[in-house]
Amino acid sequence: MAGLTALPNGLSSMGNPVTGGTYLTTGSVYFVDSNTGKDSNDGKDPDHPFATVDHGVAHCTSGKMDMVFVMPNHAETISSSTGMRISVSGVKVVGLGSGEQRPTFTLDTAVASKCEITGHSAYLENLLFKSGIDAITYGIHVSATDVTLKNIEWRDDATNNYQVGTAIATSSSGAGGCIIDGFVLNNPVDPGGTRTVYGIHMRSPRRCEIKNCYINTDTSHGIYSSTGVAAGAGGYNLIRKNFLQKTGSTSAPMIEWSSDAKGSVVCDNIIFNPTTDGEDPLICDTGSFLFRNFIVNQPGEVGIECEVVGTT
Amino acid sequence: MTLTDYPNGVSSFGLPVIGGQFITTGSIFFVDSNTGSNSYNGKDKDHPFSTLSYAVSKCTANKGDVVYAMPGHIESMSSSEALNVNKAGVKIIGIGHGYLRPRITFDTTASANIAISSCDVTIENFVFDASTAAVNLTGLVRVNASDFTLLNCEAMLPTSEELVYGAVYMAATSDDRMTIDGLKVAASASSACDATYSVIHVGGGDGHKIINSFISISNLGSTLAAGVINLSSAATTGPQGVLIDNDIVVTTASSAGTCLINLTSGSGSGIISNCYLAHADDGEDTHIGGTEQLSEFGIFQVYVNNVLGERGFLFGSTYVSAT
Repeated sequence: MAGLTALPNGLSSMGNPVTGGTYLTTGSVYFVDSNTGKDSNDGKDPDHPFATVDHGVAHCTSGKMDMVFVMPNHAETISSSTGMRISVSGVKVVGLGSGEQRPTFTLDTAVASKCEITGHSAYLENLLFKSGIDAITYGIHVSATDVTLKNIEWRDDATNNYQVGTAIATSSSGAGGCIIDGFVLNNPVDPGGTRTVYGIHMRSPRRCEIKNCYINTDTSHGIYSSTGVAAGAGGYNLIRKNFLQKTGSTSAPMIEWSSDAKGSVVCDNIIFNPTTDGEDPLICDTGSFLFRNFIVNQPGEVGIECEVVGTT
Repeated sequence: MTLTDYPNGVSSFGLPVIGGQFITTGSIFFVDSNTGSNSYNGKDKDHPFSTLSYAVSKCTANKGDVVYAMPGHIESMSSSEALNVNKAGVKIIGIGHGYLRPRITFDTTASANIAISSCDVTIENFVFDASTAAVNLTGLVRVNASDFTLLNCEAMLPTSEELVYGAVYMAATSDDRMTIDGLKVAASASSACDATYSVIHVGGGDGHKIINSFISISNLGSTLAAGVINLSSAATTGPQGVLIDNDIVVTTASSAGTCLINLTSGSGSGIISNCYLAHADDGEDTHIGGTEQLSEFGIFQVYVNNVLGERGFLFGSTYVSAT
C-alpha cells in the first residue's frame, strides 16, 4: 500500500478500515458470530466470522488496536475461570445490536467462571453478560492497566434465582486507569439467590473513572473500594454521575471509598437507599472530596445533598 | 461528481476516507516509532514516518493536513522545541486508548518541550508523560500561537522533579483562543509534583477555554499560590473572555494558601462555571484566588471543598467565602 488509493469517482482510501462507526484504528478488524461463524473462517468480514470472541482475540496483534466486532445475537457461555480471556493489549471488542440482540455471554457451571481481562488498554463495549449460576465470584475481572468497559450490562436470572456475587472487580494491583462508563446492573425485583456483594469492586484504584453507571439491586455495596487497598496504593479517581438503588435491607452504604484512595472525587451521584433509613448511603472516609451527591433513604421523600462525613 | 456506490454499501463524494469522524481535504501522514522510518513517504499506515517532527515538516500550512500517530508510538523530547508544530492548521491525532495512546516523554533537559508556534493547531488523544523526568521541567506544551486546541489528552507529572510552569504553558503573549478540552491529570505517585507550580499556565491572550477537564494531584509544592490553573499576565489587562467550565480541580495539598484557580495581577474577565475545586487546607478559602478582583468574573455553580471526606459547598456561601 502506498499513499492514497484513488478509486473511481473520487473515493480515496489510505488503508484505514472503514468501520462505519466512529472508531478510528490502523489495526486489523475481525468479526465474530456464534450463529453463522466458524473458527476455521478468516474472520475478516461479516460473511466469514469466527465463532467465538476468544478466537477473534487470539488473532489480534498486541499493541495494534485491533478490533473485534461481535455481531447481533451472538451468544456464548463461559463455564470456567479461563472461559473468556481478553489477553491481547489494546484489543477492542465491540458488540453490535441493542437490547437482547447485543452479544450475550452467560456465565455458568462454576462460580469461578469469569471474563478475565489481562491485556492492558483493552476495551469492551456494548456487551451483555448474564448470570447462569448463582453467586459468581467475579463476572468481569480486570487485572491489567488502562482497561475501558463501556456500556456493559449485567443481567441476573430471576427465574432460576441466579444473582451475581460481584459484577466487575479489579485486581489488587496493576489495574490503574480503569474506566467504567455506563455499566448497568438493574434488578428492579430481587432475583433471589445469594445477595450481590459488590456491583463494582475496585482494589487499589488509581487514575480510575466510574461514571454514568446504574446499579439497582439487593447488594451490600454498589461501588466499593476499601478492602484490599494498600496504604498509598490508590488515588486520583473520579466517581461521577452514577445512579445507585438498593432493593434489599443491608446496612452497607451504596458507595464506600477508601481513605487510601487519596485525591479521589466523588460527585453528582444519586443514591436511593429506601429500606435502610438511618444508614449512611455514602462513606468516603478521608480520601476523597465530595460534591453534590444526593440521597433518599425513605420512599416518597425528596432527595437531599449527602451530608455524611463517614468513617469506615 | 456523483455518488459512487461500492460493494457492501460504501458510497463517496470524493473525500478521503479516514475511518474517523472528521473531514479534511488536506494531506494525511502516519507516524509510528515502532515500525516507521523517515525514509518512508508516511502516506499510509504501512509506511509511517518515525517522528512527529518529521511528519510536521512534510505538512503544508493552511491545508488542513493531518498527522496520525499510531498506537504505541513513543517519542522523547530531550531539548527545547524538540517538536515544533510550525505549520498552521495541522492536526496531530493519536490513535489508541489507555496505555497505547501515543506517548510523548520528557527526560534529561529542563527546557525539553513541545512548541506550538503556528496558529490553528490541534493535538488530540496524546499522553504527555513526564513521570520519569530526571530534571526540573519548564513546561511540556508551550503555546506561542492563537487558536491552539488540546483535546482529550492526559499529562503525567514528574514523580521526583519539579514541573515549573505546567503541563500547558502559554507565555505572556497576545495569542488568543486556546482551547483545552478534556485534559486529565491524575498524579501517578503519592509523592508527585513536590514543587509543581501550576498545571495550566495562561500568561496572555483572550478568549481561552479550559473545559471538561479532571485534574487531581497530590501536591502543589512551594509556590502554592500559583494555582493549578493560573491565569496570569504581566500586561495591564490579562486574559479577557476566559471560559472555565465543567472542570474538576483538586489537590490533596494542605499547606496554607493552596489555590486552585489563580487570578493574578492583570487577570482579565470571563466565566467560571460548573466546577468542583478542592484542596485539603482546612481553614483556608483560597479556591479562586490571587490579587485580582473576582468582580471581573462571573461565577456560576462553582463548588469548593477544603476537607477530605467532606462535601463541598457552593462557592460564596456562608460556609466557604470568596477570597
